[in-house]
Amino acid sequence: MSEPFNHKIRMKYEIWGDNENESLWFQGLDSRLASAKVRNIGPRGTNSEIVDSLVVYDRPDIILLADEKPILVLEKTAEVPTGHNVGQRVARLVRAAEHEIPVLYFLPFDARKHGKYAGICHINTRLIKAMMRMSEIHSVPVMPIEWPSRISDGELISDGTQDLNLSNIVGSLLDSYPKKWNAVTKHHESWLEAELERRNDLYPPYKKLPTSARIEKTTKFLKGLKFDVSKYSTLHDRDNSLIYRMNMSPEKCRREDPYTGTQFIYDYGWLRNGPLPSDRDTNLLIHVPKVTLKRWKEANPNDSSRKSSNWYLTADAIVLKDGIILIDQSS
Amino acid sequence: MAHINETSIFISVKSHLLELGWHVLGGQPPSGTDHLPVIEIRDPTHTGKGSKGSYKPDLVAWHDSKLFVIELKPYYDQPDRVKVNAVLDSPERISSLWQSLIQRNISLGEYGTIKDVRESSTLVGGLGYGGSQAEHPELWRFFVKDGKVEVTPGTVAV
Repeated sequence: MSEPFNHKIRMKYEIWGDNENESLWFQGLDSRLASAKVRNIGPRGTNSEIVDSLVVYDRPDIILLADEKPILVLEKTAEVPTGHNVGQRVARLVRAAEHEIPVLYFLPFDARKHGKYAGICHINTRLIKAMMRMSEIHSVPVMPIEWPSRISDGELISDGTQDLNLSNIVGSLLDSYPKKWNAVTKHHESWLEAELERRNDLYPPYKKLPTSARIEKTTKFLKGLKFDVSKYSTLHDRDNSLIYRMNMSPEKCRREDPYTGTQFIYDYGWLRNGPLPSDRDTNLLIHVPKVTLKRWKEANPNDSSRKSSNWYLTADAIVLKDGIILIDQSS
Repeated sequence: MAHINETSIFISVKSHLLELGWHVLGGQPPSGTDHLPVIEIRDPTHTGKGSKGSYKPDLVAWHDSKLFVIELKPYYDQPDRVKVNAVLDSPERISSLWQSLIQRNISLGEYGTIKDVRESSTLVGGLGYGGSQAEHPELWRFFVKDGKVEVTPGTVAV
């Protein structure tokens, strides 16, 4: 028996999950996890140090530890990421990627939406693009895995076969640990590249930024604001800015989802060229033109004990009705 | 005794039904995502946009020509009893439930699809919980103790 195999035999797995139902499902994906200890992710400060560090932005569904080291983060949803769903879970994926931990996001690419306005929904490919860039930038697999649906009617498959591909990829990561890239993850990456191209050809608008986000000259944008911008001169260090505009009213501005996750999609998909938020040549500006500085700070403080701190994770500034909050992303 | 919370009740009842060979067709875990489709029963009085007033049962199952709508809680919950009975008492809600299932073309293996058993099946309600047993004779009881589930049939089928 070879040494690496012995090493794996001795490995002690722990599954930290957001809820027991999902943990038990995850445990069933690979027989090596059968004896894993299943633990619930608690409030920050009550978990192991590394788990606490991984839930700083947001709680993923599953964190898998092997000998107390994180080796996989998994997120699962039955919702097709379209409209406001797209960015909702992205911050938690980014956190794992920043720790260079493989991330699998199990979700439908195409599925039927039910109710009065029933129809087949298709994944917004900006999410796939952003995740592929996260992979590249952090040198770790960050992969959407398709929860398959029936071709005939778009219903999600739930007969057990839906997990086969995911199970294969989880198994390959356990096999190859500590190596994160292996034949299976590489193969899936190639499939994703082709799938992204195919889907973008079918629906070209996803190749570009949506109308709520645009890249323009920093000077032009700042000139258009109706307050004195002279004290925000550092923004001129970059010629161009991606302006992500949201029309939240002062009354309804106390919220994070999906905006704080979506900023990462635009950052990784269009701007980022390195692992730090400062690694880009274009500013990322969040523009909330109807809300004043005072109201914003009261509703969304940069307080690490609150999820509102996610607003400050990657953008260079939040541009409000009467002023700008500059965010130092250099550290 | 195992810790009782809604997730553990969900897991125990769902696993038990599957062990009994019942078809678990849909449902919604208390948090997170399950592989089951979420079944929505629309409020017949709400005609506008969206799903205002709609109800998503914790578990929907089919067995022996009976369609089960089951609500789950850690302990007996009177509002859940009212909620399930409100479905049994409303032809519109019953129709909405069947529509929601038929729309998904759910397979029942050797019995065909959910549409095939529509005419020959009745609807029954159930409550799953731990703690102490309560009396609700019209509804099935799925009583969870130490991870095991004791099933007591109810009297009402519509």
